[in-house]
Amino acid sequence: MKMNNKIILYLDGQMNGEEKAAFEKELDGSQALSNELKRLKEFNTGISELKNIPAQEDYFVQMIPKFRSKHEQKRKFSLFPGIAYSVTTATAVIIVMLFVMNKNVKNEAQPFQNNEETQQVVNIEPTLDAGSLSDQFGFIDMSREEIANSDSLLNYMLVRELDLTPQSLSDISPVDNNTTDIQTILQGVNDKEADAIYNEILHKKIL
Amino acid sequence: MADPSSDFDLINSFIGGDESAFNKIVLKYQQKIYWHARRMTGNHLDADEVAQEVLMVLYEKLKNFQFKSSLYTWIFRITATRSINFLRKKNLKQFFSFEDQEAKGLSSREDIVRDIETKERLAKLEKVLQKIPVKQREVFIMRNFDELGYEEISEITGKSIGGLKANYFHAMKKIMELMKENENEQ
Repeated sequence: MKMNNKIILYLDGQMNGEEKAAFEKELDGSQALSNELKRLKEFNTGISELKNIPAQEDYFVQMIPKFRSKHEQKRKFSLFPGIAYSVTTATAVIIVMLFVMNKNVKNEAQPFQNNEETQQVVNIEPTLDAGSLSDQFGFIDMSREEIANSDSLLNYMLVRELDLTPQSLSDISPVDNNTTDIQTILQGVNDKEADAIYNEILHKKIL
Repeated sequence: MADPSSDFDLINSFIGGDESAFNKIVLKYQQKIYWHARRMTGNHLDADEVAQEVLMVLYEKLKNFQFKSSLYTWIFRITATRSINFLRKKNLKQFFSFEDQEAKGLSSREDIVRDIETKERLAKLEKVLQKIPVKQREVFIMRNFDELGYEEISEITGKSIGGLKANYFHAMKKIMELMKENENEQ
């Protein structure tokens, strides 16, 4: 162990009797070690002198009033976190409620989830005029005049969807080759079949 | 060390609602609190901040004091912990440059020590102490200035006596080296 280290342990009282005796013997035979010890002792004395430093008494007199004043401020300020917490909680609750309500509205607005809903649309369709249907469903290749001139919107849609040409009509029914009168075709179709075709067309066009 | 029986009465009076008992406790320990913080932080303003923080903790927690240790040990534990926490925060602030140089200069100018010679010697010591690691500095201060034995320091800091002795040894060694360097510079 280095000499300095032994001096530290010696002065700090960390040596046992045997170590202490050996060090003191070593100390007697070494001037350098004695000087080092002296230096460290002087340092310790210097520290002792700095243990009780005369300081401004005012500071210590003012310590309690200063603390009391700070404590009072802190006590007043401690109300603020309560208010902040309440406001934050209320805001969070409002946001959650808005989110839940918005979600419910979206669920209600989802169309054509099942056949019943499709049927409802089919049932209300006749109340719409041809022009508004054109706008709504995007029949952009059909002018309002064309729709108005056609026998009915239903006829027009059926002709388009079934791609009825004079040839094809002659293939499926004994009708006059020079006409595409849908009324003639519909005569061979009962109400139930007509509804099914109509629903199919609507379903394809709208959904 | 302080008179524990008197501390016992003062704490009970404070718990019973006597605010003046708290003032008496503070008057009794304020110098020890301040000077420990002062030696740990190295300047008056920081020491004052730590001391006020310690009083705040004392006031808030004294009502729950369970007499498991002496009031002296308990106060010292709070002071030591707060001092180290303060230094950590300060180091972080300095690292991110939140503390400006002007404030740093101001903290070194303001002092409660009036005697110029004492002030210079204290500044020299504080400068050396600030160069050693916090844990070593803590043990050195407790051993040399607060005159605490290793067992008491162990109770306060929760460290083993062997570890404390090692810390003290390294602190002394480093201080001696720094002093030698200072002497060579002069």
